[in-house]
Amino acid sequence: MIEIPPALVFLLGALFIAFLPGKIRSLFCVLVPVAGAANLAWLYFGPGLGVYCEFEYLDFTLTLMRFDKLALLFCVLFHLAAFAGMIFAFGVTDRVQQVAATVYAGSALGAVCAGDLLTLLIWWEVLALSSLFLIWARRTRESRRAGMRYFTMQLLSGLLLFNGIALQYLGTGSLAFEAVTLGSTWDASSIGTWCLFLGFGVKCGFPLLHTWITDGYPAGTPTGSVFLSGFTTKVAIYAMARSFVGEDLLITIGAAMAVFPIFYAVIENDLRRVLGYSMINQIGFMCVGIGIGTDLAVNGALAHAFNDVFFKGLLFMAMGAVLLRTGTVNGSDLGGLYKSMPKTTVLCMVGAASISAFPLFSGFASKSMIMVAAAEEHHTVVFFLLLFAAAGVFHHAGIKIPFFAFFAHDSKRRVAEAPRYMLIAMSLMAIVCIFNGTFPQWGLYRLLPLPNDYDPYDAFHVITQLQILFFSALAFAVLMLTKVYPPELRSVNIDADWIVRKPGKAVAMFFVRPVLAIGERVAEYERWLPGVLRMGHFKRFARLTLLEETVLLVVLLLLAFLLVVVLA
Amino acid sequence: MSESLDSGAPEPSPEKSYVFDDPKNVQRLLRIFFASCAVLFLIDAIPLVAGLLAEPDAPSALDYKHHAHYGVEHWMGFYAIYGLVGCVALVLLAKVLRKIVMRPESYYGD
Repeated sequence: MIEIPPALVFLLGALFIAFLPGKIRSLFCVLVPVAGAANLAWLYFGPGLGVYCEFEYLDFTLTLMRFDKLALLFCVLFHLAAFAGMIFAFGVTDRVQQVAATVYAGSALGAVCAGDLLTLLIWWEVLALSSLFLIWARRTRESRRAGMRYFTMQLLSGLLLFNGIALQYLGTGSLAFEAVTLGSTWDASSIGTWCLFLGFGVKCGFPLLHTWITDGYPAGTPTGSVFLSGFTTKVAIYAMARSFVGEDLLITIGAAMAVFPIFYAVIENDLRRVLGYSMINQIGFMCVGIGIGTDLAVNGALAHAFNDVFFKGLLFMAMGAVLLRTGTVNGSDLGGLYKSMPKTTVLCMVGAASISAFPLFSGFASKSMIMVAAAEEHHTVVFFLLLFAAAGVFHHAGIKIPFFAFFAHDSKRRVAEAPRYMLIAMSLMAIVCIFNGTFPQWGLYRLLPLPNDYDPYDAFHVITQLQILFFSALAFAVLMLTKVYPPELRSVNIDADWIVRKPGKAVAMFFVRPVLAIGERVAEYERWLPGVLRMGHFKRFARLTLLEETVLLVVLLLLAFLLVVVLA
Repeated sequence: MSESLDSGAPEPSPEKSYVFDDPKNVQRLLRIFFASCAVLFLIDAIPLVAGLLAEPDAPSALDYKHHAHYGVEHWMGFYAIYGLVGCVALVLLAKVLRKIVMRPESYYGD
């Protein structure tokens, strides 16, 4: 019997999805993760953990599947996330989104199973390309531009990774994807480790490199952003946990990531962008955990990554449902939706309670591990910064999201409740949130790769956590009642992407203009090409435009290459 | 808690009336919330008293804070005050940040 890598199930599924008609396609999208889960269960209970699917390519040994406890955790996570996401997107009939989402989930699985850096790189790039279509599929001018900016950052991450791998190979002659230490000299492998670190860091959303999250996620389709929130950053956290456990620099960077976004989140109007900032904040906690490097801290970081997919996914789903029904997720234009979307409201509040780490909800079982580890290792400043960040999370994600969308000032929007399949998907996410929070020992903690005897439920943690949460809410209540709280305003807030979007754009246009002129001249001769090769032909086929087509072609070539490599 | 701030007045329209359209319900919820805050604050007197009464080498079972890592954590209501002050500071600083970074929606021209 041959072992099939989890990613391959999704890629083959995507091939079918590309050609299946209508409703069958939607159903098939849901079945792919189910088939994947069956394969995963067979792998685990059959051949068991181990290294599979190794083959020689050129002079390298590529390992498609390193199936250990760390990889298993993320495999389980991604299958569940893909399943819930596909149910949420059941009403989507857009072929591009369905194929992109399936390939995207598959490439995330490929990356976490990759046993060497070259295999990781390939999946890293497929991850970037496939996710782009979840933004572009919204087919607005804004989403196309945001998508390009998103993709540029993903390319930067890929290039850094590629350079890191090349330098590592030059320096050590090895492509091993394992723990490394950041170098402090100027030789190839030292610089290589920094390239790897930054390449992973871009996908983690390190400060100043984070804007693809807050810029790209609000631009995705209502269902696309749910997928986006689940995979890319978690793959990056996986890579960090594989390579840079105990790296002190991560503690500092993580603390910065946990703190700075909450200020932006308070004044941001687009509620999906608020979730983007809150995502950076949560990843900050995970980076701190990986940086501390003790068993408890790393387990905490991984458990939190697991939980984040569900509570953040649930919040993105709730906002996706609001966007679907009302056409907007701007806090300034919403309010009072609890009257027309009561079920979505309740489910959103489960997500909000989970991200805020209320006892019995998932965030409590994982965030407290990182906090305790920080205190145990005497990172005093970091501990109190994280405590502040934890209070801030409740403030901007736990209260602000449900309050401004569903309560607050009644916007008089009377819309239909979210479609049934969306409610089912959200309920699944909510069940995982509550289960992981209430019975962490039964599922979540068993999946953790390192020894773990942590129990979050003692009087100290429960009482102090409730105190900090209730008094954060008190601050919100008092500031609202006294009208000190900043109102939701239609606006944009300048962030690090300003550099690219204002001065950077001017510089780029200086160089791009001549190229564009040449492109226009070439286009004049397009009518001389045989029909099949004309861009117009593709456009009718996929309703995409020039730019998307080019990238689509690259994706297809990469996939074809992968399939050839795998089958050869 | 969050919904407690909806002080929408009852609507004259024939539309169905919802739970937070009645200011009485909002008031009720706010009162429950404030009372819970008070209880959570006062609960911290238990480890304080238990810590004072117990022998130094035999911590009382009621002193749920004896595991705490930092001295300040033993103060009565430390976590409550940290959350309250932290969040007020967060909002006030965010208002300053808004003065610096906020631009009209058309700022980037797309």
